Amino acid sequence: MSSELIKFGQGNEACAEGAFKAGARFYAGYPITPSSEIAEIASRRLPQLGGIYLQMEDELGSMAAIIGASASGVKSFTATSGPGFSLMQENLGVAIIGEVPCVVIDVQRSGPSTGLATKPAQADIMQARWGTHGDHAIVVLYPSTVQECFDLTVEAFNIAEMLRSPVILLTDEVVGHMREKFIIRDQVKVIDRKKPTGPVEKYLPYQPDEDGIPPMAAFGDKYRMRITSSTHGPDGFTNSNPVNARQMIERLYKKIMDRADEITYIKEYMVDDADILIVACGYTARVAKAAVKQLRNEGIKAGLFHPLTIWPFPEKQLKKAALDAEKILVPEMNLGQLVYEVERILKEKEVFGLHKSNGQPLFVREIVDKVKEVAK
Amino acid sequence: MSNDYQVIFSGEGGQGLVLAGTILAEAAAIFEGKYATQTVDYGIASRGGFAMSEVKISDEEIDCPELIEPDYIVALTEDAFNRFEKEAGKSVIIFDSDAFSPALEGDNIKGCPFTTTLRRLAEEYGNKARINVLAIGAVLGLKEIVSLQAMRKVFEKNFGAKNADINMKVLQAGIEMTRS
Repeated sequence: MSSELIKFGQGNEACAEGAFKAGARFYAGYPITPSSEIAEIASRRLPQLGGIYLQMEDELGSMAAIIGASASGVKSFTATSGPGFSLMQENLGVAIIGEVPCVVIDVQRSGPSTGLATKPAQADIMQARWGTHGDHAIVVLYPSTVQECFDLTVEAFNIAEMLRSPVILLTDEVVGHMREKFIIRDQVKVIDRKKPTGPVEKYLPYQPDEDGIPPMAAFGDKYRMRITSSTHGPDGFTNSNPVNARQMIERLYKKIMDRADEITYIKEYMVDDADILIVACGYTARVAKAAVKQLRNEGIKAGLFHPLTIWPFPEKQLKKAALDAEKILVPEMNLGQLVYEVERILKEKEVFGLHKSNGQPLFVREIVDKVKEVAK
Repeated sequence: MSNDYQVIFSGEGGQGLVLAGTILAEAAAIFEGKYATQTVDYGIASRGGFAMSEVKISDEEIDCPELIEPDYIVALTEDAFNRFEKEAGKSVIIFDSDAFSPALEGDNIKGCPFTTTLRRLAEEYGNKARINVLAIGAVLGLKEIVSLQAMRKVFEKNFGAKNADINMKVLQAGIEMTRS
């Protein structure tokens, strides 16, 4: 008997349910609009599931707490919005260099700073990629529907566990607060991190297997686990040897970039014969799809390339989708972020941006009008 | 597309208009098996300030929750009315005639005594009578875009059987305000 549950609820609720289904049993956070429902649900549900909800003093502490909980073997997550995401960047780097799987949900609102707390934006696209300093790669997933909030949160945990890396689940105020029907799937694929199996005395917490990923012991296991934010050798002790440094930095980068195809999710709509290809993510992708339908009805061959994995950006997939398109339009709720990545990838094409940063989402007619303008 | 409906509930924070949208959309999505979306727009104040929710109901999967041509707009404050009066040509606007008197008039602009009706209901049901349920009723009085059976079920699911009875009575009072 299937115990699938159909619910009518928010994107934020679906993110929380996805996290629980993926096996998350620890949440530490500082509630902030428009992500607060995730904290609220976690505070109610996690104790029922035998997990822990911790209300933290701030977002620096939240990020530190989920790193600690994950290092002790429990799948962990937090949720925030732009101002809190800024405060998490330092410890996000600790999770990257310490190779600690965890999931950070950022429900984007209009900034900078406190900005417009209840209004949407997509202005953290670059912060999600480059917010923490130093050379690094990072995985960022971005749902556009309530069902995708559930499915991609499960996937975010799976990727984090598979790669021993933090994963960002980026949404926006519209997606986070929007309500739709969604299914809490009964059967989902759940991946758990690799554990060490060999002799205890030979375990090195940062010695990768052939796949580039080291098995991870938990604090409290019989294996000796070490985490440092400094560049370290396979044993987890600080190491300033340039050969070691290069190996460590490159391995952390390559373990993600070499698997880009495996973790890339995209949706395409009428791209095959499109003269003008729209590239959009999050809520804006839904506006763009409605715009494509309207434009097609008016005889304009528009199509939509909709990345659900935005970092690493699906470069190969975009090139393929854009092969026959003459012009590219990138609508986004910011003054220009994703458009630069698209320009970099499609150097030979004419790439246009449509940017809106006033606390309102883009409207269907705005995309339709812009397509008509650039199609001339 | 004849079975597609777009509804806006607008007014100020604290009137329960987000909940009105949620309840109507949930009734359609869960208890009538349709597709429905609900989105919100409100400010940082928990009471006061402009607030609204938008509902789209369709037999087909909904690409985009944005409302293009709303069928019905409930405006419980003058501020909300002023924001939407330009839609009067295409949409039916329902407003609280006890709260303000708009200069704009027309067949598509329907004044309803929300405040006095609510006061009368409150004498019987206390604070369990809510203006947001009255607002849903006012829309259903013009067109039963969601069945009353589905509304009862959604009330029962969210508020329990006893409160569902009260809510159905408030809903009925809303329906009577607009049913011609």
